[in-house]
Amino acid sequence: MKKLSLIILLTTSLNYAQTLKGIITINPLIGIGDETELSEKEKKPIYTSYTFSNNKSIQELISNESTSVDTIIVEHPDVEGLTMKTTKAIIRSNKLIIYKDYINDVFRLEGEKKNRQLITENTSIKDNIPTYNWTLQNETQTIIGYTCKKATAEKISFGRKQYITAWYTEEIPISDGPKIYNGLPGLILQVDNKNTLIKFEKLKFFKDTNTEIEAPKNESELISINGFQLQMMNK
Amino acid sequence: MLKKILHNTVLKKQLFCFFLFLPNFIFCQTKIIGLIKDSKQDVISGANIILKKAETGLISTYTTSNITGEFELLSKPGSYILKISYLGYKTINQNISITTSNLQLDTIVLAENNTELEEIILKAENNGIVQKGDVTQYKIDKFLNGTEESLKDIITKLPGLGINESGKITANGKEIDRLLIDGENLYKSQHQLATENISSEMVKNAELIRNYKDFESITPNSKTGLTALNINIKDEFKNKFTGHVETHVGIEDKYKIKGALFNFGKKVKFSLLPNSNNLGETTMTIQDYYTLTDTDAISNSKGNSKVVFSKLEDLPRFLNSSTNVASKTNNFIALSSIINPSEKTKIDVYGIINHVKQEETYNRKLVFNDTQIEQDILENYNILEKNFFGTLQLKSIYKPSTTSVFTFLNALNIDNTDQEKRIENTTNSELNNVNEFTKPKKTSFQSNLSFNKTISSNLFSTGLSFKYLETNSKKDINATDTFLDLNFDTDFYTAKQKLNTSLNETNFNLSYTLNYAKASIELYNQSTLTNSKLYSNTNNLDAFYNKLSLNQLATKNGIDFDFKISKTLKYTIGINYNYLANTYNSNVSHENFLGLNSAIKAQFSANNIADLTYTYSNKTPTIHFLNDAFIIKDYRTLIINEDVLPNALLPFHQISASHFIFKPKAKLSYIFNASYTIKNKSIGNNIINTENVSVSKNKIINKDNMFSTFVFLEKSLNTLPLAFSGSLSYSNTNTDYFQESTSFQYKNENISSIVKLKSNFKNALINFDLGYKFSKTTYNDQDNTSSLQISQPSINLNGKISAHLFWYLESNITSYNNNDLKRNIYNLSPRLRYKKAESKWEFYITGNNILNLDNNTILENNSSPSYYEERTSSILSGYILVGSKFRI
Repeated sequence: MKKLSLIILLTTSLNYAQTLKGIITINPLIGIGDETELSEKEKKPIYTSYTFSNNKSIQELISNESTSVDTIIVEHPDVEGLTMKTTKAIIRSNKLIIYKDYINDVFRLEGEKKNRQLITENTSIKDNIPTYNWTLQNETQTIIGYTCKKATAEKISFGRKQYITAWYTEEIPISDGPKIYNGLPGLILQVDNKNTLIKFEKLKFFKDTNTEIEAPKNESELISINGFQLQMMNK
Repeated sequence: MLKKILHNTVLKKQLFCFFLFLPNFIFCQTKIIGLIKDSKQDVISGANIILKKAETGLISTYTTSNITGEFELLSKPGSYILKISYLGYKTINQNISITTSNLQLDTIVLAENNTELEEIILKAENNGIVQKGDVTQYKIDKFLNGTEESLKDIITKLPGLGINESGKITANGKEIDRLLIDGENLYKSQHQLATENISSEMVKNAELIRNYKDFESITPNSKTGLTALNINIKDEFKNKFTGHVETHVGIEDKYKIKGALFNFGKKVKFSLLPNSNNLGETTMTIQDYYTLTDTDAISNSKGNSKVVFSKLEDLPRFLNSSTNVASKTNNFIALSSIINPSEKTKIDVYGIINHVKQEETYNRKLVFNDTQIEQDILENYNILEKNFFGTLQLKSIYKPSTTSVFTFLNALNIDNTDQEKRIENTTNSELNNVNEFTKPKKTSFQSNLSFNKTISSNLFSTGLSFKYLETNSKKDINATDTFLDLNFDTDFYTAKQKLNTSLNETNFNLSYTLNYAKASIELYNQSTLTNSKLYSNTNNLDAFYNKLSLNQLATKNGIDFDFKISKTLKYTIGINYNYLANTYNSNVSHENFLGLNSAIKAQFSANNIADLTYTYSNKTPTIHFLNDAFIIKDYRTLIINEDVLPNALLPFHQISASHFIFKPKAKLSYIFNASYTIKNKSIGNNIINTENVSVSKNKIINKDNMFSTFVFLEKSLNTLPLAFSGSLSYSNTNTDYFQESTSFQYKNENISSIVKLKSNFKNALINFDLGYKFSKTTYNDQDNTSSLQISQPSINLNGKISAHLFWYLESNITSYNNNDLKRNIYNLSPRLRYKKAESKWEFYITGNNILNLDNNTILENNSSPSYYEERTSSILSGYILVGSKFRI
């Protein structure tokens, strides 16, 4: 029996599989909907973990985020007691999982956040992996030690045209990227879509390691990406 | 007429139809279909497939393999490179040519990769160093504090890098092989041209590359063993002319004018560096002189087989020392340009003109360990020297494809010296005034053509080179009394010597390297045909008449094996057969011998490498050792050959070991090396001293051994911006010599050590650099022991007075201590620099060695078999200068 398990162990380690793990930061650049300067609180980056193995990738929120609502009471300078409550909410997910399965072309997003009224809302998306019409550019830059090439794309998102600049590296032959981005001849290490700057900060390879990546369980009814965008725009 | 045709509606319609269908012809695309599997015949899905244009390397199209491992690409016809990569597998680059018919590729099998990605260590915790495979990237702003002026100041602040005493850049204590500016080897081995002229604000970042491959390198072997430092220039200094002009003036006509003109374009890189001063600053070092003149290093890659520098060859004196002179004026200009007219061609032009005028004064006491000369000899020297040195190198490289390369190199060197020595010699209280005029003129030309080609993974290489070297030297000596025991007809004591040598050399080499997964085999052949001549004549005396001719054919056939014992261990063994045919003054002789080399190299990681090598070979004497009549070296030295034969084989064994570790995260570097050279047969001296003459006879000796070792350690603290470095070196030579044909031994021992502590506070008002240097040299022969001990504590400080005003202070005390005398020299060199951030101007007040504004003297100890000397030499006086720099 021992021999058998040893053989199994040996054969599995002969898969030459590699797992790639990394940390992604998402830096908000401008607020969605308005172009005003961001407050310090809004500028705080969001951190997610990244794991890729066997043509599947998963990203999970690792920084401790939650929606915050600041209430400020304003008073008329001449009339005492004439007050009004104003609120400013920064809505942030407290759970976010993005799963991409390139074998079966499955995209899953599982999110949980509190809305303005601090009521928990769940989002469960299932769709095909989104595609982009990338245009490869000739510019290069070094990001965390890798030579990256530039690619640009335009995409309608939430009813608006988004201009996306991505930097990918041929040195890591994975056609994946952070968030929903993918589809370049190498891992995307940085994406700038004018609203946010998304960047890999750390990467580590684990040789001869297969990490089992499983799709997240859905907490609410599964909808498509388009459906989700329509739902948000109609709110 | 033309209008008429265009108005023809039928033609219009035809043209319309033509343009309508044209796009169909242009955008006609071919389908490429392929299947990717691993070595176990399992399909690989999700692999990256990139189609690149063969000429430009730009991505034409790309895709990934699907769940069944298949992929499909659409492309226009042409020649392409298909790159297939997948995480954990080796990347395949395949040349394909696409025609108009669809292309079904054979199944592509990816091999598992065990190494490619494991060496990638990522972003060491924000310490400014990124290690990626063989490349160490320095984010320089992490290490700088704003007081840096030139590239030199940046390099000395980067962990693991430094600048040695002769101005060369070192990486972990070892001199780097290539200095690249924006990827181009613009300054060759003359690193100081770059480090002193490229200003700090031009530098974007620095990368240290191990196993660097030159443009002309096509070797499939990825471990070239070369270390390169690449300095990237900021974009705002590229594609236009930039530079600066610096002028300094001071009291007593002291001056320095220095300039720099650069253009770092995409296709053309250009640099022009003029420098003129009378401060004693030389831009050319002795090491540069050797690399520029020793063309053997270029043509003879398989180790030299000759004893190169002999007693007859005088080096220009200005190379010996930069400060031990009474006065020195230096005019220098260096031009370098590298042009890449296309991606396949590179043209490299490098030229230097150097003119030095210097005066030396020293007095020395010669102590002979000989009973023949009872008294010491006292001498007062005054030497005036003018030297003109010019070099021009032109190298063209043509690389028609990634597998073949042609290189054509032409180099011309001119080296003319005009030397005037006035000597007052006092022997037995008798004074003799001697004037010696020496004018050596050296001209050399070298041309070298080589071709390299890779055939699958094997490398074929061949080269043909031609070299011509001519030296014409005139020496006139006149004195108030008799000298050299010559018979003078009259009361005019004059000797006129003519000494001419010439060398013609043609070299052909051929090699073939077979590369296997775990081994490589190199077969090589080298043939050199040399014709050298020597002629000398003094006062038409028979005893001083030489006319020699030596023709030599040397062939070397050899084989080198390289084995990879394990992942970390590599073993090399080589054997070569050498055949020599000599014709010396029409006497023919033949010799042959076997040479051996072996090495073991352990590479634990990219930054932890140890090796041990052993080499055995033979050298042969050059014509300079064979003169059977006297040649005058100076007014009291004659040279003659005693028993050196042209076909003498001089065997040598060399054993060397080295180990180095660099830890970018801990900012620690360590290097150790040791080497031992054993010569059981070598050319030495048999010295016969009389009151007026020392005759130095070339004689075969049976022992000439040398041992040297070096340890270096550098550590930067992560918690505090402090760096410590220390080095210790020891060398020991043990040589036989003869005096009056009796054998004696001569030993020379040197120990030296440097300890440094450097601070690098970013915002502090002051930064310091404390150092202590120590060296002790001891000479021993059968009767005498002489020693010289030099110690030098130093404190260098720098800081900011305001945002625009910087100050620098260098101070040290050097104490010299020899058998009889002790002397301390205090050096204080303060400097102020004013620079506004956006301004084009910079201003300086420079003081150098301000405690010795009057000429001072230092002590030196020189020793050679049979005598030693104690010398007191004048050194350059200090100065104070006011200067400005204007940026273009």
